[in-house]
Amino acid sequence: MSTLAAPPANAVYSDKVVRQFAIAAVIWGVIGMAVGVLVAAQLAFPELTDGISWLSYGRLRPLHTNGVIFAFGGTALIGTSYWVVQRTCHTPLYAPRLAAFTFWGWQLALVLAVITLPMGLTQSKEYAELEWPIDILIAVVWVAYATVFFGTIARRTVSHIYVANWFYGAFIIAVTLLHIFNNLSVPASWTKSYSIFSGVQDAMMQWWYGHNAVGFILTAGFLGMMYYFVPKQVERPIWSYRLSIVHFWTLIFTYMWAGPHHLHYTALPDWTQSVGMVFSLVLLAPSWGGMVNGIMTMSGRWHRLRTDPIMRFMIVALAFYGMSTFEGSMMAIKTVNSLSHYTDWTVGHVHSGALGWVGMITMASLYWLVPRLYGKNQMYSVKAIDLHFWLATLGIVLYVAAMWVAGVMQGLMWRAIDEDGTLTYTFVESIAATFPFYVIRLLGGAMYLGGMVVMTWNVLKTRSAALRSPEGNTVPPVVPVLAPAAHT
Amino acid sequence: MEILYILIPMSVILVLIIVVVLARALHQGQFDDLQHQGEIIFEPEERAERAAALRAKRDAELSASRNNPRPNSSSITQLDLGQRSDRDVGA
Repeated sequence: MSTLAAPPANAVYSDKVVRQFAIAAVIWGVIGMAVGVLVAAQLAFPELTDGISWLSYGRLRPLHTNGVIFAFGGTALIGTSYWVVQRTCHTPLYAPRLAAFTFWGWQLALVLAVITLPMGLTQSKEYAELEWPIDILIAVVWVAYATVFFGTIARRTVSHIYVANWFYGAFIIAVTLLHIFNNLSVPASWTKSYSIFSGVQDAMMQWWYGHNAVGFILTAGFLGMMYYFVPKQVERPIWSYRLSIVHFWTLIFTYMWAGPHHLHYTALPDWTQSVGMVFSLVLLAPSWGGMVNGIMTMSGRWHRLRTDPIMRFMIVALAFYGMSTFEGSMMAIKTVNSLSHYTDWTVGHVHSGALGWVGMITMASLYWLVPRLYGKNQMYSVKAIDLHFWLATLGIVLYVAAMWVAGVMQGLMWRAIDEDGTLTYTFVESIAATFPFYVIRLLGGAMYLGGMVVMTWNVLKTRSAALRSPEGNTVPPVVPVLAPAAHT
Repeated sequence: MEILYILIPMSVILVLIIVVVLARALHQGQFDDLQHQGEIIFEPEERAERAAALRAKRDAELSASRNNPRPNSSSITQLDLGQRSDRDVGA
């Protein structure tokens, strides 16, 4: 336990690295989502990029998933965590040069992903496709990140560790474990390695990893973001601080056991599948604790929804969070899963969570953060935030509704049996029937990407307007670390 | 299902770590004052602004209820204000 002295005299917050991560997150968002739109187009029009090997669907899909989860989401998480940990601990970052290394190291890993994945270099493990040299780079960057984050907490000048930091901390520790274990492989060359696991053993390891990635990156990490930026935006403290702590501990305990629900009706033993199913259902409670807390924090401020598009992003993000976590628990039930597995319903579920919760809470948080990183209270254009909100929301609705209908249709077609016991439909018939939904999804995704482009414009305008500020004050602002206010 | 020889012990160890960290945080007083910890993200000026706004609102409501007395209205108002003040004013 650190001795809690006042912050060092003349200390200033290490915000340059936060600025770098914030700008990078927005740009990666456009890139990751653009690749998404391209692969969605390829699913509707498979001959779109025929003959161009580095644009083939099989190579681009992981570029999309890595691009949105790690490049967009991961960059946003690291950047916001650096802001939140400093402000809530009333101390600048521990080892700011190490923090700078985490920025450049992380960007390098992401650029290497952009290069190697279209080249077809892959470990073929979902959300863990990057080959072993990049995995090692990520591990080094991650250890540095953990050092900076936890070092800052150890240096805090307030005794209480604000709840958002617990969520970020769990995210950091979990990712360390997950990344190392699932990527264990034997290199055969600089560009090719083989997993030390195989068969159903590897499948279990993969979905222990995969579901924990959802739980600890996409849920815990972004809940950390939510627990700081929602109260800041609506200017109310968290509705129930007690609930935030209770649901944090129950969430991180329960999530670890849900992974087998990805492997229902496979070679995984029945009892293991059942464990996954039961814990996935239990997970509903701690998960909705977060949703309830976030939404109720806005109570007393509902009138602001009329004028505040950032708050609109936040309420819709939390609504999608609740929806997706409910949907996920339901889809983890074996009988439901027997219909949904391998269909586009799974894709719809993923994107409702990813676009609805993860995307929108990130956008809301960055819309709060970016102006303040440049000494302003507001983005360059509030109207553009609203335009983004509507593009994003309508885009998600089109996307998810199309995938729901397609998914249930596929599941029903695949299990349809004639009186003589033979399958009613051939597989390709289900593909043909899905075509219109792929087109609708492409439109929805394109709208979502359009919103992201609007955001990038707004962020860059905010930045350049602030940097060109005529007032003569130091821009970007250099913010002194003040001693924490005393509680009475 | 040999992979479980890795995954289950690892998960059990993680649960133990979770319990230990929770116990130590509890013991070190992390969860002693949950009423006000939600406030620490706000700067003193923001808190003062909110407290002033709430006082103004409370004064307006009290004078309104004094002018229009209704049975039990003051006790209900007091109850509402009590809950709200806990949340809004904080430190």
